Amino acid sequence: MKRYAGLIGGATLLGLACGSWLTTCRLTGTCTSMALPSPWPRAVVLAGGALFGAMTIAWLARVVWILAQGARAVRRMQRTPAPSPLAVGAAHAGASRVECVTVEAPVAFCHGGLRPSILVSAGLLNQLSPDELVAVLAHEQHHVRRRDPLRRAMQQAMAEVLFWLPVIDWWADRRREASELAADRAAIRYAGRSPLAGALWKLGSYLETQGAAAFAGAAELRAAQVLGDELPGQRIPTPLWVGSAAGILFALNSAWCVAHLFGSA
Amino acid sequence: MAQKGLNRALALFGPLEARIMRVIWSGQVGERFTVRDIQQEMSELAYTTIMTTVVRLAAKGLLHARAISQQKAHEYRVALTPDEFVTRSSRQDVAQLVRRYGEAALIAFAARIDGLDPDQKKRLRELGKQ
Repeated sequence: MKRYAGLIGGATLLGLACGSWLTTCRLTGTCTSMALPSPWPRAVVLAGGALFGAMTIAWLARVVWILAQGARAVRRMQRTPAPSPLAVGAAHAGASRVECVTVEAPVAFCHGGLRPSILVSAGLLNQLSPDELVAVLAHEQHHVRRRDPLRRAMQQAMAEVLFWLPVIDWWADRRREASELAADRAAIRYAGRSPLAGALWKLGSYLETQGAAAFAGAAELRAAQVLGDELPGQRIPTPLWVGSAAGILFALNSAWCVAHLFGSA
Repeated sequence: MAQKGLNRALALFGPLEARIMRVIWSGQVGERFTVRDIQQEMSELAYTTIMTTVVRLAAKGLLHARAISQQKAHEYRVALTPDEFVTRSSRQDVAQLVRRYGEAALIAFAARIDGLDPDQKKRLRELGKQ
């Protein structure tokens, strides 16, 4: 989906830029080589506002779409009354909105935009010890408290809309890792290191058999944290800076083109 | 109870597939059947419509198909009970969920551990056992 959004966004920007080059410059060069749009500065403000508005609308629509997709997927899952081990675990972890679904696979996740809740599969309850269950629930409850599904949807949508700034995508990945590490620290506070390690091991082994590439994410960092190892530092790679600088130039060029369209309108 | 399981399974199909699977699962056709047998139970539908749907159901793994020698037609038998189908669907749902929404709106607990180095893996497993 990310790739498609990037492609569509790229094609739109390219079309916009090329279209304005065609109408204003007759393919003689980039828009930045053109004179000030007239009437200056109204045209520039209008163009900037139009581009910013379009990106904001695209961002909001994408956030709503991501959350709606998640909600639809969750609605389809069949609920079952929470068995007593789950109710006890939830009480220990301070989690209030927890539901159980009739799924054999051991899964637990937090979902929902404004009122997030936790979904746990019946298969998970069969595989985890009571302490491990508390660790998982405390981890997810931390996501609930911080409304992480909404935050993540917003960050992902921003990275997609601002695809021409690859540094934003990098930043969204780091935020995701930071939120997982913070949730793990909450799990350690509630249940201890050993149950968290046990749960990570069991559920991670399940994913390994399923080939679920989407979760490759923060495994190394989470393992290092629970084992008490030093966490590696994070620096923005140089190609991302270069790519983002090129992206800004491209965006400025496009904005300049749009300003000429507004000016001549 | 069996009726409830059947209805739960049928709810996971489209309207036409559900009608055909109802005929098959409720035993209105024999254990081994052809498209013609199904059509006798639902004569309002065209043969080709039923055949297309049956082929699709077989492609989804719900029916086993076997060519009848000397004939163009295939003989089918059911591959999954309604309960088995519901279980398989939920498994697929989760696998799909994991693939599509893993790190977006659904924040799952799990992380893949196969990328960890062997030493880290060993220590994680041991710490988990304590």
